[in-house]
Formats: sequence, structure tokens, C-alpha cells
Amino acid sequence: MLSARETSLLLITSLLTAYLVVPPLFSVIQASLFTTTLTGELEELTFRYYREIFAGLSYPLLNTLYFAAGSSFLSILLGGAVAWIVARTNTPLAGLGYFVAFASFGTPFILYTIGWLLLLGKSGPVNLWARNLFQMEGLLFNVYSLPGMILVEALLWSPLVFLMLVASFRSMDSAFEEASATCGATSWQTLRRVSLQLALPAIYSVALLVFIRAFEAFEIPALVGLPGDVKVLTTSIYLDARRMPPRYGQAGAFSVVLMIMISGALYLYSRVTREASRFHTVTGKGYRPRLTDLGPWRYVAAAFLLAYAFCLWLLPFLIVLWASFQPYYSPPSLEALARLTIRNYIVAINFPKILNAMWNSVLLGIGSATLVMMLTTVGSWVMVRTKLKGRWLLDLLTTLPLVFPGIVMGLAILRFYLQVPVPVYGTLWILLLAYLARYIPYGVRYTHSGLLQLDRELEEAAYVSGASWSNCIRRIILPLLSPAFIGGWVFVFLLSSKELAMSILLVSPRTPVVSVAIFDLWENGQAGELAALGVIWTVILSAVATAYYYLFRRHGVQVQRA
Amino acid sequence: MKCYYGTFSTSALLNLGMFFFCQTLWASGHIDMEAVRREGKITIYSSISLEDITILARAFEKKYPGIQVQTYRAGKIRLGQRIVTEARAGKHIFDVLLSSAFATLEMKAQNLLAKYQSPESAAYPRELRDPQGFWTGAQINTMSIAYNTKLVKKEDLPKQWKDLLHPKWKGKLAMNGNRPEWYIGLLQMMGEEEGRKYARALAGLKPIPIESATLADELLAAGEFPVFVNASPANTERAKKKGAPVEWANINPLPTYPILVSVSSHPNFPNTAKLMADFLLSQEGQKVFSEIPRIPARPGIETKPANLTKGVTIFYIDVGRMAEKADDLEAEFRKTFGLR
Repeated sequence: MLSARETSLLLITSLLTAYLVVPPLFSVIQASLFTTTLTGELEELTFRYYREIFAGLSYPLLNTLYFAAGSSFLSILLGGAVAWIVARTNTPLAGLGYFVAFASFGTPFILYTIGWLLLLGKSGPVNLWARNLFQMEGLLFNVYSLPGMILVEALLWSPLVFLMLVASFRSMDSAFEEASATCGATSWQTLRRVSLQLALPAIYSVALLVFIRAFEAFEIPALVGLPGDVKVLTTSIYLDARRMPPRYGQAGAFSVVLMIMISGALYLYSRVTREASRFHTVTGKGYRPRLTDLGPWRYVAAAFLLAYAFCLWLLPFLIVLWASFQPYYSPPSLEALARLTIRNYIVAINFPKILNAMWNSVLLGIGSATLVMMLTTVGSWVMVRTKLKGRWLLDLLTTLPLVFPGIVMGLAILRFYLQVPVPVYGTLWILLLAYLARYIPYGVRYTHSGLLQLDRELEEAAYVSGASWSNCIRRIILPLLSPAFIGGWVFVFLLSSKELAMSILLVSPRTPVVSVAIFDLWENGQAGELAALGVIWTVILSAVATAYYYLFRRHGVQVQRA
Repeated sequence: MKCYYGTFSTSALLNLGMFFFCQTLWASGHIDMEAVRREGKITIYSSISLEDITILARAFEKKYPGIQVQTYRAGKIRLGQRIVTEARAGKHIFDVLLSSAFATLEMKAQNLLAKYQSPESAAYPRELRDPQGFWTGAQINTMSIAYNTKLVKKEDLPKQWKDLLHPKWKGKLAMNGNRPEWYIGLLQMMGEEEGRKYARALAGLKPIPIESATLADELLAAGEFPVFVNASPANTERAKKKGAPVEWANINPLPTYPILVSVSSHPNFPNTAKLMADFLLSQEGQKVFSEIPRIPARPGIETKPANLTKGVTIFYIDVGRMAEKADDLEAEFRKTFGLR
């Protein structure tokens, strides 16, 4: 009986995923293989774009590798350390970790970047103070450089790493760590040989996500790298797509190459996690997630958390907040204090249809987060629990959208729904479908590594006791999976609320969304007004994410204080 | 429509007479106001900011109560993509297009625009009217050098474009890499050969490429660099009004490109579409542009602030020529300044 259900679940989730993913996949491959006319019509088959990608490999590739590897390493180090402190230790102020993640993720990307550029720029406070303090000429830190790019990108992604690892750390039975300590291992050895090993699937997942994202990132390379004459592989692709007429051939070819890389990475991942039982940290034998007592070190950890919150969130946020009360940007000073104004807030609130846009964005965020997590929970269950032959296909399908260029995906969805008789064009539904397709990969990485931690025996015990499958999912799996589910939900919610590349093509006059409004203010040179809108929007997003977090954590696993 | 371009007539005077005759005739009754009332709706696609297009829409709604204006805004590239994609699927959604030349001329080539010569367009300079009658420039964007007043002394300022080549500017310049109009303008203004020579010399001074006009404006005000080579004086004026230490140089002449108004070839509300085009080009509509503030294209309408056009020599970029080779010239622009 069970296997028939498994097969039908596999079929249903695969069909749903295929429906969402295949049309854009088709477009990406098509874009990579054909030259197009001015208006996007196919002309002739060519391998030119692939040749161009490989020809461009010589010099920018090294930069690209440094950039991707550097920023993913730094963000994993930072986000991972904070996640461990928050989830596994009795450090005070642990809630701060969540708050920083929600708030810094909720801040519009462009504001965040400009915050860092102003902070670390030539005339920014950091270099200004360094000049005064050390009586030095020139610059302490040049942000328009490879290290600068790595730093900004890593800081941007560290909340993602935090949200992903904290979920996995929370579901860890401390029995293993206690056993290790009993055997005389030092805490460093325990961390390295036990805790990190157990968190391996999650760390692989997050490394895969961040590395791939940094590899194909173009915003930071364009805004930070280009002025400093640091070029990466994506720079030329990005500039090609911005030309008139736009060209997506290189972008398409690049994402096909990345897809092949991802398939390789997934294969490795499946090898690493093949012996799933190695990673079962939630078992039937008295599962007690417990906090490690750091002793006096917990204050050091708290200080680290505070420093993290200060650097990652407070500093750039204060710059944004400061800018939102200034008529134009100027470094903080007494003279500038006299210019404080709330005019930006008035303009932001009166921006055309802004309340409507906020409502739509929150609605879309909640909708796509909930649906993505539901779909990927079932999908991951099929992948982790069953031995069905076609599982790998589902794994691949759910991960590929990670590298679809947003604009190509947006165009593909636009075309698809203009042609098929599904009446979603011009409504919020088309945006929802686009977001679902885009964020499935993230949901899968959360639920997949989360499910790997659950021992099968828990489910078997439920069946033996006469529970139905749906009951088992609802009463056993979901509560135990809750850290991953909540983490993934919040992540997809925050990410979809800032989606721009597809939204700008898919919105209609009646369905405005906030990310497009933010872009509009930015394009129009209204940075102060944008900062004000950004502050309001960050508060709303953080409030929704926090509310969700507290609402659903109550139904999940409770961590005991040691 | 013939009377606007009386190629059959040899007498300029006669031509002028017919011109005025037509204008009064059209203005008094070429639009069926009863049909407009029945239509009651219109959709504008635009590449100017949502806030600004909304101001224009509200002004129209105020003048013609009962008509509802829907607006959609995207950058020139995505705007063009959206229109073409919609049209190919047989969906024609926009009635009026208000966009930069890149998108408008492409839509014209796709047969997605209708010939409509608004009677108001007679008041506009020749450079801002399509000889075939598909579009009229409703608003213009000048381009010039902007500088941080704390970092550059007024007497050091370039008086001509050539003055910018002085070695003292090396390492002090920034450039918006996303404004190919400026490069194309230089080539048309100086002649292709001279323009290219100039651009290469300027590239030797290593201007810092900034991939966004807004970012460049902000960083200029914050003092990250002293001079912004291809700024928009209208934006500089906005920043100045807020108190930012920035100013623009009145160089002679300023390359200038228009934002064009045109009407769809498959309008859902054809009469209202024409009415909207007329409104945008009318004295009244142009004053709304001026209040936003944007530079109105119609001569004789006061700009806010006035110095944006007063005492300024404007060089109109020939948009027809610009669009023809835009693709190659943009690539050339990027290559010259090491933007790729």
C-alpha cells in the first residue's frame, strides 16, 4: 500500500514541479543555443555563446573563483558561528541572531549595498576616522576591490547561512556531543569531529547555495567590482543583458554550464548523504536537544553576537536610517543633524499605490513561502524516505531553477501564460507561480537536510501504533521538522518580497509590488525616499517573519535549557 | 496629415498657412468627445518613473473627469519586451506609449504604433517630430558635467567639452556606464571621427565607471569623486534643491535626447489615446511636466528651475540615426571606456 502511495506522491510532486520549472528551463536552453532578432525571435542555431563563455574563462575565471569561494567561505564562517551560538549554547541574547537575520534580510538589497559603499567608501566614516586616527594618507580600506566585493557579498548572504544552519543545529541531539565529551574529547575536537560531521548535509546544502549564487551574482560585481576595475565572469553577461536590444545568449549558456555543475554537486551531495542513518540526530531514543553550557565564555559569545549584530545589521541599517531622515546623503555630522527631515517618509507613503503594493507583497510572500514549503516537504520526503527509481529526477528538477537568470525566467513565464489558456496574466497568480518556481530550490535544501536528521523509526513507531500516513506527517514529521520548515518559510518569504527581475515584467497596473516600487525610486534618483520606504518595509517584513516564527515554534520542538 | 509635410508644395509660406489652417481645424474637432466618454479608460505604458507618470495621469483625469488612467512603468528594455511579447500573443494592452527613443522606435519597426500627428505637435521643433508622424518628443533630457562644489572650484570648471581632457582631471572623474545616449550624442555633435578621438582621450583619464545614474549622483554628493562626466542637470538640480553640494556646468552645447509620446496601432480606447497624446503635448500638459519637475519639450514653456534651459544651447540628438546604430555604438562606448 505504502509503495503505491509513494509512487503517486512522487508523480504528483514531480508533475507539479515540472509544470513550474520546465517552461523556463526550456527557454534558458533555447536562449543559449539560438541567436535572436531584436524582438527575441529565434534566428539560427549557434554555439557561439558557449564559445564566448569558455573564451572568457581565462582571466575573469580566477577572479570569479576567488569571489565565489571567498564570499561563501566567509559567509558560512560568520553565519555558521552565529547559528551555533544561537542554537547550541546558553549564550544570553540568542534571540538577537534571529532578529538580525530577519531585519538585514528584509532591508532592500540596493540600500544595503549603498549603505556599505557609503560606510567603507573613500569619504565614508571608516576611512575618514582611520585617516584622523592614524594620521595616514590614502585609504585604510578600498571597498572597490576584490576583498571589498567578497566582504559585501558575504555579509549579504550570512543571514541565509544562519537561517539554514540554525535549523539543522536546533534538531541535533546533544547526546552525541555529551558522549564525545565523556570520552575525553576537548570541546574543539567535539565540535570538529561530532557536531560538524552531523551538520554535514546542511553545510553542504548551504555551501552549494551560496557558492552557486556568488558564482552567478552580478549586482555586487557591477556596483562594487566594476568601479574598481575588478571583473568577473558575470560582468560581461550582465552588461550584455542590459544592452538594447538585450542579449540573453551568454546568460543562457552560462546558466546551462552552471546547471551541469549543479548536477555534479548534487551527485556528490547524494554520495555524502547516502548513508542517511549517519545523520539521524532525531531518534526515538529520548531525543533531547540540549544547550551546551559555555560557562563564562558565554559572555564572550554574547559579545560576538553583539558585534555581529552591530556590523551586519545596525551599522548599515543606521546609515539607511540616517539617509532616510536627510534631504540628501551626507556623512553623519552635527551640521547634517540640523537638516533632519521627515519629508522622505511623507513622499514614500504617498508613492502611487504603495499600500496596495505592500499588501500584495506580503500576500505573495506568505503564499509562496507556504506553498513552496508544503511542496518541498512532500518532495523531500519522497527523496529521503523512498527508494523509488525516479527520485534523482525530482532532485534535479527542484534544484535547477537556482541558476535560471531571473530575467530569462520572467520572460519565459510571461510568454508561457500569454499562450496557454490559464487566465492568470495580469493577476497576482502569475507572480505567485513565478515565485514558486524560483524558490523551490531553497525550500528543498531546507527540508531535505532537515528530513535527513529524522530517524525512520519515529515514523514506523507511528504506523505500528495505527496512525495513518497523513496523521504521521502532521503529528510526527512536521513538528520534528519544524526548525527547518520555519527557517525555510521565513527565508522564502523574505526572498520573494524582494524579487525584482521577474516581478518587473509580470506586474500589471493593478497588481503593484513593493520591490518594483523600490526599484522605481532608485531609478528615479530618489535615494532618500527609497531609504524611508526601505525602513518602513524592513519593519513590516521583520514583524511578519517574527510573528510567524513565534506562532509556529510553539508547535515544534522545544529546546531545553541545560 | 499631408499638410504638415507639404512636400508637394514649393512655397514655404503657403505651407505655413495650411499648417495653421489644419491646426485650428483639428484642434476644434478631430477627436470624438462622445466616444471618449463612452470609452472612459486608457492605459499608458511608460519608461519614466511611476511617480511622474502618475502625476501626469492624475492631471489628465482632473481635466477629463470620468476617465480612468492605468499606468505601467518599466525601463526601456523591459517595456519593449513586454509590449512585443503581449502583441505576439494577440494581447494589446497599452493605448499610449511614453518612452525613450530606443523602445519607441523599436515598437514602430514592429508596426505596433499608429501614425498620429497631434495638432499640438506643430509647436515643436523639427528634431522632436517624426517625419512619418509616429511620435513627438514630449520631454527632453539634457546631459552635462556635474561636480561637487566642495571639491571643485568654479573657476577650474570646464567651459567646453574639450576642457575636460586636461590631465588635472585624471582619476577625478566618474561616468555612468549605462547612458550610451551621451556617447552617441558626442559622436553626432562633434562628428564621428572627432567624437571618437575625444572619447579615447577621455578614456585615458580613467573615469570610474558607475553602473547606475542614481548611485553616481549619490556618490558625487557624498564626495566620493569630484566630477560626474555624463550627469543629468535635472537630477543635479533636484539634489541641489535639497541642499546637496553639487552643481552642473553649462557647457556649450548640451547633448539632449527626448522622451517620445506615441499611440498604439491596436488601441483599446482609440479616441482617448489621441486625447491623451494631445494633452501631454498641449501647453497645459507641458506645464505639468515642468512642475514635476522635468524639462518640457515644447518651446515657450518655462522650465523649473529656469536655468535648466535658459542660456543653454541644446544639441538635439537625431533619434532616428541613434536608433539605427544604437547597438554597435553602445558596444563601442563600453569598449572605449573599458566597461566590459
